[in-house]
Amino acid sequence: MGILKKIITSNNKKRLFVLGLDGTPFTFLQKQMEEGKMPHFQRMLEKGSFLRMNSVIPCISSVAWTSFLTGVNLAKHNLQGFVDRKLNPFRVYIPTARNIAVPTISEILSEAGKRVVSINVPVSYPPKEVNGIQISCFLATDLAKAVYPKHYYSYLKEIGYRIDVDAWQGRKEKEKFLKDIHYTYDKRLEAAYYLMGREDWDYFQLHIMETDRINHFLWEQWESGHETYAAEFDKFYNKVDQLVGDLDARLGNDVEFMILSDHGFCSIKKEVYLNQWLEKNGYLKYKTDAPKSVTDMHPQSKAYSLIPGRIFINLKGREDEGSVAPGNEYESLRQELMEKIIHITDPDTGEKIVKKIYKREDLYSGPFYDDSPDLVVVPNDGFDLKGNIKQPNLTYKGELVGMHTDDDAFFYLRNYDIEPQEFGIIDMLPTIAELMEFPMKEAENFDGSSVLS
Amino acid sequence: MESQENKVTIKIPRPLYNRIKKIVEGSGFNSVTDFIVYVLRDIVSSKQAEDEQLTKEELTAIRKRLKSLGYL
Repeated sequence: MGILKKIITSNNKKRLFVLGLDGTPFTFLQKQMEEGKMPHFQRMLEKGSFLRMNSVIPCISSVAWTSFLTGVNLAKHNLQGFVDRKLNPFRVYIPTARNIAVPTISEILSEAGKRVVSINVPVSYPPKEVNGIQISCFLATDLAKAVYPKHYYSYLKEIGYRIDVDAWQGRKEKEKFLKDIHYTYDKRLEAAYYLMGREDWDYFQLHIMETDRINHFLWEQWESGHETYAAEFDKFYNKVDQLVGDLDARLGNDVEFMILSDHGFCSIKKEVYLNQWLEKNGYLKYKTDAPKSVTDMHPQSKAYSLIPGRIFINLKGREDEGSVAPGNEYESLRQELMEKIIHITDPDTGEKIVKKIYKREDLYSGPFYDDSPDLVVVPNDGFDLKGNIKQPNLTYKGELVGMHTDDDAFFYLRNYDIEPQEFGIIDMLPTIAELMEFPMKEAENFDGSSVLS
Repeated sequence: MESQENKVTIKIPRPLYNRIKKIVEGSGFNSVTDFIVYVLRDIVSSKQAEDEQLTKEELTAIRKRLKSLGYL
């Protein structure tokens, strides 16, 4: 039965395996390879293309992977951050897969009768009823609800599958954190290999989140050559390298093999609290002396920020208690903010915090354009923009040591010689459509284009 | 195909269909169907309210996870 099914489903069409290494920078992999620390990946370079890739803006995994899964910008897919806002009444919520407004690759392929397996891919919670298997990402906290079809739950429970590490340990108990990283990673692979051997699939996407997690808490130690943790960091990435080699051997040449990350990483010099800047400069006020979040904003406020660097104008007719009139007042306020914010410096060192500020019309288009931020601030490397309102100062050096960068993701494709070019994660779905020789009706809506042609 | 078995056909008045079609044109939605499914999902989920989409325990756990990563 299994063999028959395979013949029927394969139908001479291309199959694809995608390995996602969350937050693994292109330049980091280059360095590790130059130092001989990732021999399997190094070997792969001889038979494929390894290129630097742009992320999305704002540079957050949930937004970037949703653009990967849908081929469109956030004003079309509607997944705008780890937190987002709803108006009337004003509240901040955590978006899930339910908020994604367009079909994802798993749904598109399922619709066409192709078999898909998706493990741990952001944003895949709650799991969709795909033609195959979906094991949800870090937004799931209860494994029983994270698996489709449900009968795989007992298997995952039996092997002790873990959705995500406990990141609190990364702050205080690094030994425990590292153990958790290895355990979670090993179980993820165990489940992936089990499903690879047992299921027929046309599209298999395995997502490693532990790369991002270890980068958040040990990047600085790796960069500075910490006597214990730099070696631990290398040890973990050595395991990732072995996975690459192992998958290369397992996946025959009739399967396309893509590896990629969604953003880069760098050390954090300071966390930067934009709402503090807005408050100190008279743009943001609160209704109470002890506000809990920006939702306690006073109606006279002009602007507020959500993580990372998203600035919303308190616009009349849009926000619950808007104070800024559309038209000239709105435009001149945006201009004023851009001119001031670009010059913000770290009070301790005088370093310039902001690299660039985008107006939303420079970045987004689509049905959810009205919900997108009016301005997006992109920081210089090392300045991690936050939305929290409780920090008393503009900058703070905390326990997180690594932050995302938007221009240092990577893309690898086996058996293809791709011309060097400027491209981004948003170009991946059109690329996959071409790779799998699968024309998608959604293509006319795509914001990117295939890197193959 | 398995996915087709999970779908049903619903009839709506043609004038309404034509009006939606106009809204959908150039909006970024692929089709009237995609638009209607999105709108209905949105209504159903807002009716459930966000704390029903995610249980209180889930919400607490997710908030803790995001906070530990510095996202809240």
